[in-house]
Amino acid sequence: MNENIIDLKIPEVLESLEVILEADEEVFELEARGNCCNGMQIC
Amino acid sequence: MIYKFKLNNIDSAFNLATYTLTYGKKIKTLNKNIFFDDITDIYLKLSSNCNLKCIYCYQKYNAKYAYTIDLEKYENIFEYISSVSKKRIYLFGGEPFLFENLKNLQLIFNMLKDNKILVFTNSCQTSILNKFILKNKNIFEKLIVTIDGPEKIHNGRRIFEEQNSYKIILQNLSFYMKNGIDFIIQINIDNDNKNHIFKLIRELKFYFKDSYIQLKFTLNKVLHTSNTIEEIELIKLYVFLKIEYPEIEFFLNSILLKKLSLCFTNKGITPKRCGLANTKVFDFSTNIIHSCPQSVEFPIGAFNENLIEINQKFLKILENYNDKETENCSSCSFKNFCRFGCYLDKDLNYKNCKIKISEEIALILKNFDYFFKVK
Repeated sequence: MNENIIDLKIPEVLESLEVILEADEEVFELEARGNCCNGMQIC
Repeated sequence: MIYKFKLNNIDSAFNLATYTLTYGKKIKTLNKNIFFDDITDIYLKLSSNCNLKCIYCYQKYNAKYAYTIDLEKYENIFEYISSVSKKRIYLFGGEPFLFENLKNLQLIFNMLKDNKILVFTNSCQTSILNKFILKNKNIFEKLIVTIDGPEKIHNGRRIFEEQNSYKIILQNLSFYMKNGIDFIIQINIDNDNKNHIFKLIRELKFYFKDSYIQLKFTLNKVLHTSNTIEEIELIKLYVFLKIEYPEIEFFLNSILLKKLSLCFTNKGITPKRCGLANTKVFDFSTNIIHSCPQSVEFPIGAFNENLIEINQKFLKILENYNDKETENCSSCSFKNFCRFGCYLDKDLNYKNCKIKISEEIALILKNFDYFFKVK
């Protein structure tokens, strides 16, 4: 692993590892609501 | 960057660095492949002519067109449109449902008879037009009808000479309901009417009585004006409406929400701001092709009876802007959620853009249940 990347990312990586380690591999699916991009969007 | 929030009262987190979502003990690794939108949006604009004079309309300064176009000669163009495999077709304007457009609308419906069409309409038409709409109702995917607030506010923004456009619209919506014509109400929101939306819903509940439950609303930000509502205020308004009226379907026209929805449902990610590269607006009164229905300032091509010509070089410039191909944006961790990149507004490198996007993501996540549902 590149040393510079580790230096830069330490707080972020540690925190994300903490969250991920707590979680198991069970997946879940989400359904979007309220997003109007189904044929009527003008941006 | 990790956003922590509650989903169904369970500790959850979105990790922007690793593209993972955790929900209690469950984990979801998000699809980081680029989402490729293969749907072409085709807008058919007969002219800028309109029976209303809305105070915020970008087309109000356009010259009126003497309407003598015969669409019959554009058979080849409509054949091309019909041949596009995945598409959405919109009727746009001006106002499509004008008496002067009847003959050409019927030609369009005949030439595109195997397709479904979405129509942007102010729905201030007379009973003759209503009969025409009913006769052709099977070709409409949906009518998108604009109401901008309660009666007084709406009539002050969407001016219809001496007439009460609000009342006419409500009568026509009743006609649509009675005859099974699908529609959605689009509320164009800016800083002037943002505080009047609840009153509109109350008025519509009173007018439609038990049928109000069938109404659906899109909250749409008026863009490209100095009076544009902040995205964060629009998101809050959506959440407050959902809290007050859980039985009504509200939709939010938000690029950030679209991007989060794509990502969280594992369809992929994209730096693109909008579908500009997949959009063609055919203006039959000028024979110009625009890249965006919201602007006539940046044409990308032209057409005649037999030929469509696109200025690929200019389209590429627009696309690069839409794709955030700039030094600052290309390495930004918010690139795939950022709603900036509109060539018309030249809004890339907006001051404090990262803070803004981050706050907006946090607000949506804080109110996760109103935007996503665990299957």
